[in-house]
Amino acid sequence: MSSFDLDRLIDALCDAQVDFVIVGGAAAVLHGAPVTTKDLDIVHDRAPANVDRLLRVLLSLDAYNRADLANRRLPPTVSGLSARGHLNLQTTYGPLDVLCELDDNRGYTELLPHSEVILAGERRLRVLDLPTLIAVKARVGRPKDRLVVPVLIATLEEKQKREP
Amino acid sequence: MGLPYDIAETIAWLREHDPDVLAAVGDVDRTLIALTLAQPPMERLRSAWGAAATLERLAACPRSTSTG
Repeated sequence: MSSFDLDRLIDALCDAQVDFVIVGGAAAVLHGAPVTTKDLDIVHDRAPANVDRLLRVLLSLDAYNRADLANRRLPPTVSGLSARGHLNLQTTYGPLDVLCELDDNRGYTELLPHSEVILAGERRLRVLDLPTLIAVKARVGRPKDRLVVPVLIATLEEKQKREP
Repeated sequence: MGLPYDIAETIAWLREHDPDVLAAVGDVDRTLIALTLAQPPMERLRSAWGAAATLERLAACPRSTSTG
């Protein structure tokens, strides 16, 4: 596993004022689920100005497609970030999966009402909310997601118990 | 594809389509959740990545064979 500087990666995105929602395993962890994660998954706003900001920060982090079998170190492009697919990138600070849409075809605009802000130090991170994360992972149905869903449901129950 | 994001609907969906996943909720160790919730959010993320890195290193270790 390559080195991963989460703080710097998140700082770079936040400092560049990129609008994004954290999804996937990192979202689960931020909500308090005791699961592991080895990358950061985000769904970004595909508005042209935001794509420009995201591309600029990705290029500054020497981002390239880590899933390219020919290992051509292809950098992300405006068209790739504006489409509907997933970009599995390697950056200076570690792996970053940039998702134009989730598997259920919902993008940033559709997910925004299903997200919440989590305060992480001085940062305000927008994270997919736990019920939505559970719904998405339950229906994707991959083995790795099926393993996590019971933990997510139990985490939601525990958080609800703690709410005043 | 329009999916409901309401937890009650998700539970109902799992009951019908994937009851084993729902049954496994009772087996989850709640003490681990409590320990994770006690950490600040970024610390949770750092710990989770550290655990993943450790697991990956262990998986990469050469396996010893039992000589019985």
